[in-house]
Amino acid sequence: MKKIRLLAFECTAHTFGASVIEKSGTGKPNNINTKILSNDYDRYPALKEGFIPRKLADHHSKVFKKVTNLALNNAKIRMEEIDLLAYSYGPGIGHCLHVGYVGAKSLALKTNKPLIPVNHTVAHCEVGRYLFGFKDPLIIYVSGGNTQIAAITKEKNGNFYRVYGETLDVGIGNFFDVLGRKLDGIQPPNAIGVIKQASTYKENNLLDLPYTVKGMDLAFSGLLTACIKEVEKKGDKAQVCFSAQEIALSMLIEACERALCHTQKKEILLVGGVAQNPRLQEMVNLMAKEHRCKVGIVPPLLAGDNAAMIGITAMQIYCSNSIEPSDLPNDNVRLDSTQIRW
Amino acid sequence: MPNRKLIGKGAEGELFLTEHDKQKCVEKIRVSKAYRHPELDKRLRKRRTVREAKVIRAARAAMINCPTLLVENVEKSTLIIEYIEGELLARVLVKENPISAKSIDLCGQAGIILGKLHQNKITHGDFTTSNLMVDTKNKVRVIDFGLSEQTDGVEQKAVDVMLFERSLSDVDDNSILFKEFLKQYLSVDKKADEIIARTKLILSRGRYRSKGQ
Repeated sequence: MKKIRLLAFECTAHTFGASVIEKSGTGKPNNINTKILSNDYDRYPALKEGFIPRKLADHHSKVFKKVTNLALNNAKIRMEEIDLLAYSYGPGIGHCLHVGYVGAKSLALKTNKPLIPVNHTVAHCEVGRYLFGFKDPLIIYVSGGNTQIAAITKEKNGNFYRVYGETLDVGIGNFFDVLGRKLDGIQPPNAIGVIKQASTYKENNLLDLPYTVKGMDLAFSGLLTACIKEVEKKGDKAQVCFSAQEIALSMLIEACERALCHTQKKEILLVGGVAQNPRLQEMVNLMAKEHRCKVGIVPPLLAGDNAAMIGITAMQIYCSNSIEPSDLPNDNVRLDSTQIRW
Repeated sequence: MPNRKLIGKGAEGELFLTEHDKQKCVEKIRVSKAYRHPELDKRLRKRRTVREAKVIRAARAAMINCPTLLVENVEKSTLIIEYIEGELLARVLVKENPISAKSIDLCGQAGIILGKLHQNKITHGDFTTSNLMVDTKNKVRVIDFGLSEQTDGVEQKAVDVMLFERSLSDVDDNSILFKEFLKQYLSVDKKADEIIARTKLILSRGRYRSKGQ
């Protein structure tokens, strides 16, 4: 059986990534027959000004060739040996998506290879299922812009991810980011700064701040405003960060626990950039233990934005003959809008 | 201590079947969560117990179909509530598939209940088909006021409507059930147009919501 090699690009926000995936043998792609040969990236640095879309796009087009060559070299594969190309078509920042699209499409036209568009949010979830071999997990997808609790459900017209609960305002990563921006002396990336600041708090006194869970949905804006007010009152910075983290994560786990009781799933997957938060990992494990659930936490290199997850998902799409008709970028496609045919 | 039998385990608490004054009743205990900071845990359990008790009393006073509160113990975050013989609306709707006259009637009753709650400045907070019971006389009764608030807020009311619509999505073809629910809801609370408009706004607020969803 011939090996299938795939070159995937990730280019939706601050990360430009390229990755080579290789599948050997027959059957559906899984963590035995499909290998990640390389997973390289260049990340636009977090600066005080935040992310300016134009600058992100410039950065990505500058590093496109370098990162692509790096991924090929690390995989010890020549461009001629690549059979398929893939890129993430959304959701993301429009400017970045277009750089990814133009790069991947040009390469596809030049080498006359099929180009597989991949939904970025689906890829975050799929890489977790691939790593842990979970068939039917409840997924906690937490990143800067996204906070969703989802699982695959069978609908009239096929299988789709269904979002059981999500944030009604900002993503949880974004929440920490905005809070960090309001605090003096925190170096970007602000969200990491807040978490570090929280860990310096040696006492155990929790501030009484708003806690908003609506069914399985969450809202962080009230908590954010209250935290900012505490900061302006010159409260103990470490204590504010500690309380913000405890309350925001407890809200998330409570919503997740509700979804778990509702869906009766037996596996939990923690995916997305915020999955690296150690306190969140601890909380998920404690909650899962009570419900006798297995937990899969995606490791940092595959949790944050990366090209390997795009490649793994593209391989699933290719092997199930479900390449979407249009490969154009779409900046507001949702997790629940892509049919899962594998 | 009378015999206690665990009949339900939700995300937040445990339900026991027990007896109070020789009457069958349900004991609802908000259990401590290991993942939560102890202070937050204590705070949430206590506040929610107090609030739930207050709301049940207010709902009963407004003649809304819900079980009676018998005992309130804040320190143990425990409530003892009247037991209702019957089945969850969620299960009944799954059984009544394709949609029958019965399921349409039940959803209409749910609309009237929510209309009355909102008229009396009570929002439920988790108004789904899993929190509505169909008793042996086919009357719908609302349970679990765990996330309720006493407020006249348009936002909270709209969330109730939205949660109900979403909980129907598995069984509701062409939103026949939801239309009946809305019709009855609007027949009680005439000023509800603003709330329906807000529902749409909340839905559109979902992150990266595709057009038409």
